[in-house]
Amino acid sequence: MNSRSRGQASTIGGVFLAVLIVMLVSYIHMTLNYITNYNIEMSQWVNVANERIREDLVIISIEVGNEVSLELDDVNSYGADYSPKGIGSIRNRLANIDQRSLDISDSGNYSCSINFEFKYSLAGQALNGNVSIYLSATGMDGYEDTGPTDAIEVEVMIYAFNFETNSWDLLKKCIVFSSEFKWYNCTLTREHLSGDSVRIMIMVIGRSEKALRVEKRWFFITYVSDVYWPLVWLSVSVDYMNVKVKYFDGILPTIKVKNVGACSSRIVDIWLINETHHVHFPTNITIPSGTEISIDMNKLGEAEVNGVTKRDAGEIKLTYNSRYVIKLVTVRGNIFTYVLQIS
Amino acid sequence: MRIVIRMKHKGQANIVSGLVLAVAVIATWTLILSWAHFSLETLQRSVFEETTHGIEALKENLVIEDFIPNSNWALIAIRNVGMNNIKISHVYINDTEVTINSIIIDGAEYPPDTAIDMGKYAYINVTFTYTQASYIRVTIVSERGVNYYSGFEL
Repeated sequence: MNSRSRGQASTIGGVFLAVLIVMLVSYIHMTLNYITNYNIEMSQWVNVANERIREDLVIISIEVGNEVSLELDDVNSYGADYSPKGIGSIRNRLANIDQRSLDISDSGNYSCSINFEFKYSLAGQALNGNVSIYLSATGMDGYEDTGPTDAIEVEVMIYAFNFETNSWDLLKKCIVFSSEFKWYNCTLTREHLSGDSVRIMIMVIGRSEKALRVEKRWFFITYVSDVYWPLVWLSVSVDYMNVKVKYFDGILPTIKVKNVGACSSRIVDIWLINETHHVHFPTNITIPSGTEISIDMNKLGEAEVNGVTKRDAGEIKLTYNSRYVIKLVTVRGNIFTYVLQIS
Repeated sequence: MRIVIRMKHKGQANIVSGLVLAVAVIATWTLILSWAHFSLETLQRSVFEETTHGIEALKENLVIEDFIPNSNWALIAIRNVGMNNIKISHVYINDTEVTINSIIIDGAEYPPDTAIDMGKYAYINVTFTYTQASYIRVTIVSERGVNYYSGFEL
């Protein structure tokens, strides 16, 4: 082969080699490009997966039922030797309650009690309640001849009548030595709510050293004509009293949800499921991280019942003595499930 | 005269041999390039297809929200929460395959092979015989081969 032919062969070989190199570079470039895109997509996927894992919602409370407030204000009552005057005026103040009765009894010189009975009518099943009383209780002791002379400690006890055991349950007890008004807040359970009445009793006991001394010496005292018996004068003023009764009337609950996750969450579906009904509420509720919101299910608009019929949320009622499963579904595909027992 | 004739023949032979060499080199390189192209493309395709399929499957996500049984059919409430559209290929209830009757999206019924768009909520209507079982295990297999499971108490 002469030099010219070798030159031609080299040129042709070189061209092909160049084509091969270009091809290889192109393939490598495409592969790198693909790997880059792959990395981008994978990092996006990892971000999504990471957010999905770190999403966390907590239902703080599920409020079921309505609340009615039975109010009574500015009642003054006196124990011991005071006559229960003013019952008529107290009754007038109770006029906004269906029926009422008020009883002031005197169980001796050292204590007095006031009974309040609230009659109410509810369009549903009573669940629980609470009573708030703003009252002042004071006591004085002295003798028959001197009248009240010294201020004494008094013990205030709040009772509610338990309709299941037919007895009074002590809700709160405290000792006061001041005429200042104080708040007494107590929780009422279902046993305290007969279905149409709540009975609250305020009992006040005076702690009189004079009276206790006489009691202790009782067995040693022989009749002496000029001895005057110690007496206790107790005064209870109820400035404000409020009984709230929560009852179940079937309306959909209000759910308090807190986002305890690391990123904001969007609830896209809410389910309310019992044995016979699967109710689906399409929603679009965003909860930023660390915040708490209330979802009133009555205001969620149109819902699908059993995947077939559409009904307005306000028309859907809960049933008493039922178990419901509430599911919150987020846009990331997490489902947070809670059980609601209504009984 | 003899010398001239030999030179002329020698020139022709050079041209022929040069051409033959060129053809041989071109043919060889063409073969090498074709083989390289074919091999690389095959390799690239298989790798790309496999990884692309894997990525697409990874990007897919579906949540089974609820199971609503009826006497002879059931609705499975699902939502596409992934980054891809999803087609349902198989549905199993308690490990037994059931027939997909239709896909219901926004109240309208569509054939079983209808794709469910990203973010869409849908019901899968399946044939279902009422069972005494208190627990239902639903398995949905997508067209990309991804399995989704969920359990429901009846």
